[in-house]
Amino acid sequence: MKLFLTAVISCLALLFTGSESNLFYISSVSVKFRSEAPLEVIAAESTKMQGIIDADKKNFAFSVLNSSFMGFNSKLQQVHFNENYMESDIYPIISFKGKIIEDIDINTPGVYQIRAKGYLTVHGITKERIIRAQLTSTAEILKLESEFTVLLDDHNIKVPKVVHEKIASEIKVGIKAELKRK
Amino acid sequence: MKQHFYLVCIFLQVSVTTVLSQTPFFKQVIVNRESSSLGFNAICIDTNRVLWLGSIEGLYKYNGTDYTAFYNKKKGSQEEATAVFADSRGVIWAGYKSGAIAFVTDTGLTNLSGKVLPTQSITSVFEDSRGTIWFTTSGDGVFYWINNSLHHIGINEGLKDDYCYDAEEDDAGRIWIGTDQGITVLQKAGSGYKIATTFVDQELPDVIVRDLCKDKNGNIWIAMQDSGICRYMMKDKKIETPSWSINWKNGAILDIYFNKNELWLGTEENGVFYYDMIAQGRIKNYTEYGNFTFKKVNKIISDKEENLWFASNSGLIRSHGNWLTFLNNEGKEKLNYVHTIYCTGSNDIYMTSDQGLLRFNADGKNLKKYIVTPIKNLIDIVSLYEDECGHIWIGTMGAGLFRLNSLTGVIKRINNADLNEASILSIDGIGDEIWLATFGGAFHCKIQNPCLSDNPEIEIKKLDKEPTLGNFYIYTVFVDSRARVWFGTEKKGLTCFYKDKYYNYSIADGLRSNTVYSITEDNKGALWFSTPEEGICRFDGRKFRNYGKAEGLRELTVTSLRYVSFDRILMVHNRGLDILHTSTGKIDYYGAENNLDDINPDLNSITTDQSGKVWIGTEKGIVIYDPGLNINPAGAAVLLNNVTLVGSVRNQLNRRAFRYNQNSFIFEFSGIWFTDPARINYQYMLEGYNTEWINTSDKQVVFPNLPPGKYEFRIRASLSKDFTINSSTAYKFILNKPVWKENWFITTAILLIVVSVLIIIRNRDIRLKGIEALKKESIEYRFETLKSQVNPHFLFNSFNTLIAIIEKDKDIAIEYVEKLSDYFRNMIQHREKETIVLGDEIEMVRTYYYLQKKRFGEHLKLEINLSQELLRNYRVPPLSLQLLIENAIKHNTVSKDTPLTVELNQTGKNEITVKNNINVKLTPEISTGIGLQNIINRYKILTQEKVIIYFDPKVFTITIPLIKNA
Repeated sequence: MKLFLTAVISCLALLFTGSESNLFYISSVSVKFRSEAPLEVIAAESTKMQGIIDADKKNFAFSVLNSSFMGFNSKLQQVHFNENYMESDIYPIISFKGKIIEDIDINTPGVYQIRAKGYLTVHGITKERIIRAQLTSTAEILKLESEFTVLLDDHNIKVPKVVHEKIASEIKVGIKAELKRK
Repeated sequence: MKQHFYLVCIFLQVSVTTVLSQTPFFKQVIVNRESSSLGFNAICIDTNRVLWLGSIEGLYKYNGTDYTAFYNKKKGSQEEATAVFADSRGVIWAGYKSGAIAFVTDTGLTNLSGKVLPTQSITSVFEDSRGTIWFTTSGDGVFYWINNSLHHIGINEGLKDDYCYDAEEDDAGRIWIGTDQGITVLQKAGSGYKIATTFVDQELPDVIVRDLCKDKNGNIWIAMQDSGICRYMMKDKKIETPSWSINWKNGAILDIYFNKNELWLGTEENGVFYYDMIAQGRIKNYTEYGNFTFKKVNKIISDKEENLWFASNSGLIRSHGNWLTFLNNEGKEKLNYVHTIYCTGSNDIYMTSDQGLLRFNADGKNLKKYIVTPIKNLIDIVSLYEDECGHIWIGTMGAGLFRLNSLTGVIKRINNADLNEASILSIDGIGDEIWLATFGGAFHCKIQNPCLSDNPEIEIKKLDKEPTLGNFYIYTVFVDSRARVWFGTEKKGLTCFYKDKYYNYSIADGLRSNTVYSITEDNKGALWFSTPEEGICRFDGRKFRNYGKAEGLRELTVTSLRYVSFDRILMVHNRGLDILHTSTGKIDYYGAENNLDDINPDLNSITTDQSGKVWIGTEKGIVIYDPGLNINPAGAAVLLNNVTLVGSVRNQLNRRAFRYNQNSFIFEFSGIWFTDPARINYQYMLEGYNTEWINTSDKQVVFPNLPPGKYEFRIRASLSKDFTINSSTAYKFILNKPVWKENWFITTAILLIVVSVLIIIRNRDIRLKGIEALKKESIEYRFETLKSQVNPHFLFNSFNTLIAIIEKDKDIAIEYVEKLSDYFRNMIQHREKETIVLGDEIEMVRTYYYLQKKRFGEHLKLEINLSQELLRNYRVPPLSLQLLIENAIKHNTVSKDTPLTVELNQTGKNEITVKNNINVKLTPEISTGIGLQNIINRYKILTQEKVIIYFDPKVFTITIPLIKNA
């Protein structure tokens, strides 16, 4: 699967040919999600997200494997996450790709409040989203921070009534990533 | 009798509670029970008042009870419909997530096809004033549909961005497109469009423009991703942000909708927002009602019943908007069990619940609480009245009368022996005169020095001299515009006090009941009364007109009546509130489906505030009806959906003529009244078959085996027993007679028969005449033949020949005589017959040739080239060939120099040709002409084949047909 992911990223990279010097790749990342239900708080984190930002075209693509999320309350919970809700064997990847709406120059150092518009694919269901983020550029390194929510309904993730008190219908997601120019 | 006041108790409490809010009612409408959590991306309403919905499962049509799903055939699956639109021609357009565009026709969904097609999700569909249909897409620019073809405008044509959300047209006919990078305004230029102007981040608070909407002043309202609303003011040509939208923190606005003076906004994460454009004030937000939430609201529309519809991710939601609201209070003061409610001239609302007397301004502010405590218990306040000093009169149940100084908050008992334990149900007055309706009769009060102090002198008089107003239950008192005082009593009818006289009205005068609960006056000065179990009635000063079930009332016990603007009478009863339009007789019904079931209203717990809104106190709380926002909601409509023939499923709605055997019909129809579809009643009539309207609750009627004729199927719907006020739908058709019963067919058939009989008779006549003529001719012919054969020439020639032969050869002479004898015998033998075998004829020809040959020798030649088969199997008329040869000899010279050769050849399957060369005699024998013509005529009756004669200067041929042996 990792191989596949690498292949996907490489393919995406190929799409951005001709501007190699302006491609930023994720070097370190933390993606966290949090479900705050009345009876239980579930949180997990992945540090395996891959991603790329094209500073010229302001395009981006990110993806992460469901199986890379760790830190559940129990091992069983992780199994449930992958098998029951995300159906990771059929839909192994969460991805978000699109463009930055704001007219900014990433190569110029500064702190930018941006909105990333793109297609968020979770559980095989793609939704068009506009997600706010803060982008800090030092010309060579980009720091990306964003918080947003994902609705289970939006992605056809069915939660049985019994566990409604344990799983929130809105999942909070936080991303902190560092990208380096290649 | 003079009374004096003394203070009972002063308790003034200023409750610091949350502001009261008027909340609309929201109802989740389940369109498809199989998929009850189905979210909707888009909604529109067509001219038949039917709703069209775009969902993740495709396009839905919904009439309040049933839905129809339209699947996109091209994809073969339920594709997500992202936009729907009903254009001015009645075409329904659907846009899909794949970029497909389809429209609905009689046969279902048809996909647009062509070279130019969107490839990305359709975000909206819009029709401009020229009838051009616009499609915005998410990533593929905009498309417009004109003259049956689709055209594209994208980033290459100058559009700010290919990610577009909405299109709108301004008063100048320019098309505004909202995109991720601002707004592009397009202007018509020739057959296409050019960029008129753009608005980008310098002008706009936020470049992501999610929705555009023109208001009635022509200004364009702009909904943005993060910055709320701004609007482009056409006059000033600049963009401004309304004050309530500054610092907007509620996320993306997906839809702007103006409903009269209401502004509604649908948002991505925070439900709907409401802003009153006239009253202004606070912007209100609704995200949930009861146990359901609606966070993402994609589209808002309204229908003709004054319902608002929200297409949300949590399903379809119906609301009244703000014409019917419920007063909510999140504080500790309970607002239910409202016994009475009263609005003062300064727009303060006084109301009583079980908790005492509350006052607040009609806008919901300044809630104050007064406690009237005579001895130990909280007392039950049942009537309120503001006198000319601005003091509030408080009537209680069993605890007498009080007066509240609204400025100081001082409450004092009005002390009177008759009143101290009275139950005062109603108070009304004019100037310094006040009238009380109590369970112990009616009272008249007069304030002597009204506004000078808290202790005016009040003269109280019991009206016990009047027989109907003595110690009886008086439910209500009402002073009308002409200062007449009306009392509604229990079982004693109505009493009117006017110019020091009392007038009584009872059943004998036209009332249906002698008990009157509530009184109101309309703007024409007519009075309206409600009764228990006998409906309501109108009194114009001369006679009473009653309204009951037949007039469409659904509840005959009306507890409160109130005149509202535009000639309407509001009726409050246990099952809700109904509104009678007095000019048309139409009634609007609002009940359980409007959250108004089991409201158990007290008598006359109703008041009208200074803005015309009617406040109704009920067991469930306060209901506020705004007649200005609900002027004439549509009643029930009916649609004929299907006309089918029994045994077939095809919809024949567009067909108007049927064959005689297509005479069993099924009509299917549906009613539209979203407010409460179960209330719709139907009546139908098949004109030409039924003579009167037939009630039905089925939505289907079957007519089997109709006789031929002209029909009109009519249906109508109503919410009551009165069907005349609603329009009906009709379907005319003709059931043809069978062809053989049609007049034209019968006439033609008779004519044809007569003509054929005539022709047959005539033909027979002709044939008979022909046969007659032929017989005659035949006789003539035989005579002629005989005559010719025995004509002296023939005999003379024969005998001369014989003489020549006798001398030379006796044997030949004998043979010659024998042949001559044969010839005559055969001739006599055959001439009577119609036809003879060809062989026999040839035999005669040979005999004849033998005889002539002896005369002409080698100069006459006869060549017979006929097969034995022909000779045996075919026949000819007797003597015909012989006659032809005789003719040849007769008309031509036969000599050494000019020999005559006659050939008999078979030229066809069943014809022979007699051919001879021509050497015309210098002195031709006079022809009788009878020979040839005779043959031709005889053939005519024997066969259809013709005798063909052909000759040129050298050759004469005649072809005669043969007749096959029978």
